Amino acid sequence: MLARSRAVRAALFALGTATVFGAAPLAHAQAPSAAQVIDKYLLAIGGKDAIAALKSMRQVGTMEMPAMGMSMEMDVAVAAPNKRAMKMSIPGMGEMVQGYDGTTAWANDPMQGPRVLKDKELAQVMESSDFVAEMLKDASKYKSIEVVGQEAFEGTSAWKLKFTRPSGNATTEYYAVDTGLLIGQVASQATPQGEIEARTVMTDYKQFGAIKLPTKIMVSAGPQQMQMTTKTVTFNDVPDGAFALPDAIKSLVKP
Amino acid sequence: MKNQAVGRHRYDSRIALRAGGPAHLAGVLALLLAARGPLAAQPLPTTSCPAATPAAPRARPDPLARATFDSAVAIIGRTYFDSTFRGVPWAQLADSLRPIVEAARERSATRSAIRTMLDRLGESHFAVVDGTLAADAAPEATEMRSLGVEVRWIEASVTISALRPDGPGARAGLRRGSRIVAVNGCALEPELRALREQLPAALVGTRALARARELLMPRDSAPVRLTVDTGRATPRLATVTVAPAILSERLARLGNLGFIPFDVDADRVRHGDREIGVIRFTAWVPPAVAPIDSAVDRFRDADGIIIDLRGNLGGIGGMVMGVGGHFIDSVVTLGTMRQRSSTLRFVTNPRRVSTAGVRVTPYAGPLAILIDPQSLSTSEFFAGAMQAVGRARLFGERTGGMALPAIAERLPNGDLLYHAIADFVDAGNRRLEGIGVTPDVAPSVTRAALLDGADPVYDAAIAWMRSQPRSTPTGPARR
Repeated sequence: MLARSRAVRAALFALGTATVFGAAPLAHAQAPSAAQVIDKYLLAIGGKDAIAALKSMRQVGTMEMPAMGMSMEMDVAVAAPNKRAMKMSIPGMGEMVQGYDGTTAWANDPMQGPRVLKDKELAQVMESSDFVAEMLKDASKYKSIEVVGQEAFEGTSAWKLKFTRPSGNATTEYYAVDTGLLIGQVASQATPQGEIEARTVMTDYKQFGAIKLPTKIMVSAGPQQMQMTTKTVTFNDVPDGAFALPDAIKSLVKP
Repeated sequence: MKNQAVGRHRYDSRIALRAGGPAHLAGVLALLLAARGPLAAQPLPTTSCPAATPAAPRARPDPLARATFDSAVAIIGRTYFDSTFRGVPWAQLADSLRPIVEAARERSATRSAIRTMLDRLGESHFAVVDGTLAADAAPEATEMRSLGVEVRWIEASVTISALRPDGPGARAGLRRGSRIVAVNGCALEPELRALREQLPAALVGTRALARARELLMPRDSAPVRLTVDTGRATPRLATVTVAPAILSERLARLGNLGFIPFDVDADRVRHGDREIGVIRFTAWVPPAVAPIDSAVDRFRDADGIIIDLRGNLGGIGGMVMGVGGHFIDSVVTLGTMRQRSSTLRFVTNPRRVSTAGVRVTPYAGPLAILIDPQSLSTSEFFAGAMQAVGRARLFGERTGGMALPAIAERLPNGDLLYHAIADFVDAGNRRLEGIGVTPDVAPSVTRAALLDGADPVYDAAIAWMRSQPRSTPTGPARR
C-alpha cells in the first residue's frame, strides 16, 4: 500500500511555510540569545528589510521519493499577508493541491477527495500562514523562542532553538554556528491520520534576487524520505487568482 | 436471472470483467483475449512453459552481491514494524547467509539469500524482484492490449471467470467456467504442480493466478493461443487463437512498482423494481479515482450500490479514505497503520460535493461488497473496514489475508525490494494479515455455476438488496 502520500503532503506543508522566529531566553551563559541567532540567520539570507519587502513568492521545483521511485513537480505560491497555494503533479497519478485564502484552508487529492481543513490542521495552517513573518521569525507569533543547546546536526555544529506557538505546538530548528543559516528542523505536523513527526535537512542555499534560500530539502518521516529540489524562485509576481478556492471547495464551505 | 440494462452501458450480471492488478510485483498482468477462430478439438499440451533462461555464471563473484544483500538487510532492519523481528535473529541470520552471498556468481543467488531472510518473517508484502522485469513493464503509453478475459482460481484451477461482452475472448467463443490448460502451447500444469509442492496451500492460488496472468498478458499485437478445458463432453479440449485488442484497461505507474493495469467498469442495472449501481475496479490506483467518483455520482439515486472487488489485488491504501467517504457521512477511522515510531489512522473524508461541484451527502443506501481470495491488500482493508463499521454487507469468499502497507525500494544491483513498513489493523482492531476478511454471506462458488452462467455471489448480493427498504436519494444523479 502506498498510503504515505498524506505524510508527504504534511511534510511539504510544513516546509512550504518555511522558517520563522524571534527572541528567547538564554539556554546557558555561553550561548547566544535566540534573537542573536535569528538576527545572524536573517542577515545570512538577505536581511530583514529585503524579507519585509516581499509581497509574494513562488517556488517551483521537484519532489522525489527515491525509495519508492516517485517523482513529482511542485509549485508553491505564498502571498502576504496569509495566503498560500501548493500543487504537486505526479505523472500518471494526478494532482495533489491545497491552499489557504486567509479564511478557508483546503486540500484535494486523489486519495481523499476535496476537503476543508478543520481543528488542529486548520490551526496549524493559520498560525504559520504569514509567510513574511515566518521568514522573519517574528517573535510576536510565538509564545516562546529559546536556545536549548548547541549540537551537531548532520555533521555541522548548530544552535538548537525551540519555537513554541501560543497553541503549544513546538518546533525545533538548527542554525549553523558558522554561517548562521537554518540547516534543519524537527516538527510535528497535524494530519487527518494523526501527528506526523518530520525531520528536515536544508542544504544548497542559493541566491534568488535579494534572498538566499535552501534548494535541497530532505524530509524524513518514519521510514520514508522525500527530497525537494527548488529550481526557480520568483518574488512579487503571484496573481491573486492563484489563491481562489476551487469550485468543489466553494461548494463545501457554502452555508 | 435476467438483467435489464438501463444505463449507458449494458451490464450482464454474469460478467464481471477484471484486468487484474497486483499491488505487489509478482504479476501484474491482465488476462484479456480477443479471439479469432472457432473452438477446435485439441490434444492436451504437455510442454512446460519455458522458464527464464538462467544467466551464465560469472567467472568471479558478483561485485554488487554483498552491497545488495547488506542493503536489503539494512532496509528491513530499519523499517520492519516489529523491532523484535517476531523473534527472528535478524543480524545473526544475515551473518549466516553473507558468506553465500559473497561467493555468489549470479544475481539469483543473492536474491535467494535475501528471500531466505524475508521468508523467515513469514508475512506477505516481502519480496525481492528482478529489477529488469519492472523496466520491461514500462511502456510509453498508458493504453494496453488485452484479451477481454478474466481468470480466477476456482477448484484448484486457473478458470475463466468473466469475459468482456465485446471483447476478443468472447468473440472467439471462450466461455466462463473453462479452465486454462496451456498458453501458446505451454502447459500450466507442471508449474501448478511445482507451486503445490513448494507453497502453503493458501498461497498457491494467488501465485498461480499471477503466473497465469503473466503468461496471458499480451506483450504486443501477436495473437495468443489458449488451450482450454471446456467442461463439456465435446470438445473437451479446445484451442482458441485470440488477437489482443485495446479495450478500456489502462496502465497506472506506481513508482518502483512499475505499471499496474487497471480498469473501472460501472453500470446501472435493474432487478425487479430495484435499480442497482455496480462498480467494479481492478486496482486501487489514483487514475481510477475519477471514474469511481463519477460512478458514485451516477448512482446517488440508486436503490443500492455493489462494489465488486473480486480479483482486485490492492494498490494505494490511502484511497480507502476517499472511496469510503462516498458511503459514510462522518469522519470515522477505517484502519490503523502501526510503524515503529508512529501510528497513522486512515479516516474517511465524507464526500459532500459531487464531481460537478454540487453539494451532496454521501450515499446512504444499501452497500454490498463482493470479495474473493484474490481480493488482497487494500481491497481487504476497505472491505474489512466497511464491514467493521457496519456500513456494508460482504458477499463472496474469504479474502487472501495479505494486508500490510508496503513500498518497493531499489537495491544496488537494480533489483527491487518490496517490503512492509507497517502493521495494519482494521476498524475493528482486527489484524487482517494471514487471516483475511470473512464475508457475511458466502455462497458456494463452483466451476459448475460458472458453466451454467450463474454468479452466485452477485446473485446473493442482489437478493439482499431487494430485501432492503428503498433508499432515499442523496443528491443529483447523472445517468
